Amino acid sequence: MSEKPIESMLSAYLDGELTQAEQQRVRIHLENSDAAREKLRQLQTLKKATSELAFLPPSDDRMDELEQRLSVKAPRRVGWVLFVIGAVAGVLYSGYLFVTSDMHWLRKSIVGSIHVGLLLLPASVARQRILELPHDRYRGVKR
Amino acid sequence: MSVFPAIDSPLPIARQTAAVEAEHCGLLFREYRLRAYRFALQLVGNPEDAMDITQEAFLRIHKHWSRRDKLRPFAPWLYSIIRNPAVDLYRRRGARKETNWDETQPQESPHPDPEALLEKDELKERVWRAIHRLSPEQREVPVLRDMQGFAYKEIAAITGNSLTTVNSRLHDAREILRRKLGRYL
Repeated sequence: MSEKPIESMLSAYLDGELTQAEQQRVRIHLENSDAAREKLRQLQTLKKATSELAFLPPSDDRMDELEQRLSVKAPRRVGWVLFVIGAVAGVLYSGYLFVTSDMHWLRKSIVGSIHVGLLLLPASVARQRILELPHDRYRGVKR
Repeated sequence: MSVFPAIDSPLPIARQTAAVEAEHCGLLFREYRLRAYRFALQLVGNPEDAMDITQEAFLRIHKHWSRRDKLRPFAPWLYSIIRNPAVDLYRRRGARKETNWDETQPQESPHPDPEALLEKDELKERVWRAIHRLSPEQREVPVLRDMQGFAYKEIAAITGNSLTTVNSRLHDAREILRRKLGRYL
């Protein structure tokens, strides 16, 4: 197996992520190279500055607001899922009863048209959601 | 004893009732919400986007809570859920929208050495801006390592990359930053 170039190991050396043998190689290199020591010093300063970056936390009000939004939104999702499952089952069952009934064909056509029309409305919303799905930025999030 | 003794370990089977699960999910939200927000902010650099991402992350966690891998520690799961939309958002937006450094900063208390403070602040601001000019894949590694303190192995689990990739991305990112900021270091 080819050995990694020493200079590319300085970053991992700084983080203590090298094997003992690799650490030893880096130490020997550092003893013999002013440039490598300077590079390591710069990396140390950079790492320190990065780790010391402080961030203004959001106010408690914002966080409470977030919690409230979650407490409202989360059950809403469950509600939608249950509603869709119930609606699909209801539609299928009604359709079965309707088709097998002995209603006059003209009456069946009128009632059927109204119901199919009503069903097309949520179907168009569902279609829109499906079309928008590829642009959903959270779609690829792994569970 | 901590309120969350088993936060990163599976709950006992006997306690896996819906109510306990929901409560556990709520407790985790309160425990991790600030960390989640901070991580999102470090990645996207904008408080509003960070808040949106935090909200979506917890909604997703709530949605998949009952089906989660109970053997997997919670923190890396949370970070991976935040990380994907954050990286995606930044990639789509690009580096065009300049991050407002002041918006993200706490007010400093009076310092005994104003000159040193100024110098230190200047370096930090330059580091912050330089980090946000890295590609999303390069940026997330120093954020996870230097700001969040994760080990390489944990970063690999969060980002779904190999240890070699994490190592090389961190090296590349630091090398870019070192070259850009060389005279300030």
